[in-house]
Amino acid sequence: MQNKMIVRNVEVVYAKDGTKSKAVENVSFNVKENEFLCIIGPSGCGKTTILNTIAGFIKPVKGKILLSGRKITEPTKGIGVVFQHNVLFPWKTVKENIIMGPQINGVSKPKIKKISHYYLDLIGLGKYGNYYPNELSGGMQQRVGFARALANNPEIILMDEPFSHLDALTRKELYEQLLKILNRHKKTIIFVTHDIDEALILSDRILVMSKSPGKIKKEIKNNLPKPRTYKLTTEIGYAKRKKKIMNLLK
Amino acid sequence: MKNNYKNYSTIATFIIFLLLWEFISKSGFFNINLFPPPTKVFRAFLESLLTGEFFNDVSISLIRAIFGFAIGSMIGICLGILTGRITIFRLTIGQIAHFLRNIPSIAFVPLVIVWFGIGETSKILLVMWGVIFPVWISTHQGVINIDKHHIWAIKSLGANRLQTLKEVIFYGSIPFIVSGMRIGIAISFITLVAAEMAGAFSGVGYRILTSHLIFRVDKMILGIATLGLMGLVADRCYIIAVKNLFPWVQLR
Repeated sequence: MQNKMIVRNVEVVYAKDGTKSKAVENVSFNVKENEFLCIIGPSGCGKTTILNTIAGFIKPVKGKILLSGRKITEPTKGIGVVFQHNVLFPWKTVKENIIMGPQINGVSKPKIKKISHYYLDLIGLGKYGNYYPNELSGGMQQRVGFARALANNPEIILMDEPFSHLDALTRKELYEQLLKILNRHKKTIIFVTHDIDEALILSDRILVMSKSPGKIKKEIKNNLPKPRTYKLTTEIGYAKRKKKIMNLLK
Repeated sequence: MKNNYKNYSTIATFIIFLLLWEFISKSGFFNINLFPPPTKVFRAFLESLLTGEFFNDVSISLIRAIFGFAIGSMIGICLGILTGRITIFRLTIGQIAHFLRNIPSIAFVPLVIVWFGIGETSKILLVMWGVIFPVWISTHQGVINIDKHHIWAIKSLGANRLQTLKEVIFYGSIPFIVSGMRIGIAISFITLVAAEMAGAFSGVGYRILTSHLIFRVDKMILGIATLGLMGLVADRCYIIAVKNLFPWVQLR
């Protein structure tokens, strides 16, 4: 399969109060089309920094990022993002949040209407179109955040620990819904997490990072059978892989 | 049920207040001419209503306040976005603002009259001047408080600078702008009355001053009460408008 994204020798330096510190160093990897790539690492290892750099929010001091061969230097609609906190615009309703992308990009009105119905149903929030984000639970907000990214039809979606502040039950539900949606809409995804279960259930491949400065320590192919549900976590093959990653994260 | 209870207690308090006022005024402890009872003030109200004076004063004062408030708010919002977003503006006009905003707008009344006369221009300019600063400061605060993730999010959806400005910078600072403008409403009345007292031929402030000259304390109290009511109604209308325009803003 073709490489959707190529990240080469990326180095990011943060300057604060005159002192410079390397956040990530020599990060290189590829993401194939329709692949689900997880980046896992301890907190403070620079995984969010990598994501923000890929998205074009932060400029690297070295290295380059290519999306379908084009160099990324600033945010683009080709790269959708889902954040951990404050995902949605609080001043827009759920529906308005979802159609934000198409609206900005001048999609016609009847088409926007179709898009809003389609994605509201897709995430199972058909009745909540006119609600404001602060009237929704955290899990619902994350679903809308994902729908907003998806509705703009980007080439790749970056997700930064989108489920980390949700309770275990909601999280489990969202994993399964996310996998179901991705079954219908093939998408290339880079997903950052510190949760091993999350990485194993969702991904096709896992990059394990080490910290100060952040580096990619190991690449693990995740060929656990599909389709996956949360039940996967009870199997022996799963436990073996989990142990391996645990040791790497020590 | 609970709401009814609240309304009744408000009305009851008001009635008790008026009765107490009436009683004290007529008790003989004070000169009734200096401290007229509410019934006398009400007669003054009817009188001024019949001559058309009341409606005339209130409407001209309202028009001045609304124009000054609207223009001042618009300028304040624009300046707040400029100084909040662009460093060079923050370091230049932002600094000047901190000097100017400490000067009470009332201090400008004589100067403005010298420059612009006692026509409508000077009234509107003074109200505008008073409104600009609270709106400016709060808009500025709102703009610099916007979560960078919202800006990133809209850019990742493909927004250009203008779309980012409208959809995130402007809307994101609305909660701050709303509270700044609310302070602005109170300030418009203060400034307006000062301007009307210093030089005018109509308006509620002017009426209070002329009532003083002809020693009509009841009409002075009428003017003062009218100002209180106008401020209250303006604030209520403002809150209703905000709730309808921006239902997502948290208001008490």
